[in-house]
Amino acid sequence: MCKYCMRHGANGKWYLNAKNYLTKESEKFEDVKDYMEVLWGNMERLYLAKAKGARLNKVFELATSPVLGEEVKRLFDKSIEKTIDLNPDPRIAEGHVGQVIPLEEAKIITMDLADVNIKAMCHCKYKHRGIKQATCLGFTAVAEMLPKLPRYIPEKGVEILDADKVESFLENMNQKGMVHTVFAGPIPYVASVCSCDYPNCIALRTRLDFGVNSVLKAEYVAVIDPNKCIGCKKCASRCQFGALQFSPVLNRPIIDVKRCFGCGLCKESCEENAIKLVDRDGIPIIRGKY
Amino acid sequence: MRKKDIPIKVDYDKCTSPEDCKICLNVCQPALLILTFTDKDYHDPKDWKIVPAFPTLCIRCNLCVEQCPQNAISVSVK
Repeated sequence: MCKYCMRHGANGKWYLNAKNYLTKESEKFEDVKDYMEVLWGNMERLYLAKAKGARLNKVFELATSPVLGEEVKRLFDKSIEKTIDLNPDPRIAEGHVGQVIPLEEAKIITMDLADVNIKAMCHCKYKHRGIKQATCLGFTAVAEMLPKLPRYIPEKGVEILDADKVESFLENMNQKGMVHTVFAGPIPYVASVCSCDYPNCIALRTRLDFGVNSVLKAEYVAVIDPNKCIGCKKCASRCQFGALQFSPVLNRPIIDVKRCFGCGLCKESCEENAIKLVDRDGIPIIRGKY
Repeated sequence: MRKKDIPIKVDYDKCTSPEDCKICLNVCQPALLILTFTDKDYHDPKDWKIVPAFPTLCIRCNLCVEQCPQNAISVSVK
């Protein structure tokens, strides 16, 4: 279990704990709504926002330096763990931590646990590539504050998805090769399920390029069954993390568990069911490394 | 990295309407250029600017310099 599951999960995963889903009647709802409004309102400026006098893009670049980097990463971890009681600063995304999740869990979150699923524009893809795509699903707090931020509303207007539409939406995203991620706003409250791709995602880009824990790896890793694999190479183009490599000699892929984020994209593409997701803590070399 | 070492420069006198163009965003392979808003009006994307957020990630492929219709971007070869 990751550190957030231990703190906020009640013996389970933090994003599957029903307590972490807000309703309009919740005590903290107004605070969380205001937090989300400032957070999403300033998301495009996030890299240039100032944290303790230093711009965040400089802080991220500093995180790759050999000696200072460890201290920067420690401070970053401290700031991103802030709950609503510690007054997180939404302008620099304090408390806005994410985690990669497989498709099944994305379905459980959106269909069973969240009471509203609202489609929203992805600010990451717009700010990195200038492409407008509605790939994010926001929950109650997002649905309440979204009308105040018109640039997040899709061209067709505000769209609240029912269970069937959510399922087909997530499957469509998975087919396109997007990684499902769950984001807190602020931790432990679950704010949205996004469909991300590297490098056009703030969280995945900072994690993979600079090594800061803006998004955690999933609770799973992909493991291949060499007897079932027929070498069709369908999984080979799906991995965004450089963990799955197709070996022409063996005529099957090799998965590097140290790099695997456990998103399950390779598993979904496999028609022979040769890839399965196993618990991350069950493999000694990566136990506790999220 | 010191400020004078930043290898990518965007000339904002030439790059006046990035919202309509966005070619550099599309061609940049490590996606280090971002479209971000100025301090004043962040609800109107017309006022947003192209900013090189992570110059250390630049791979000097020069695609943005070649493709920019306004010749507004310069990358030093250092």
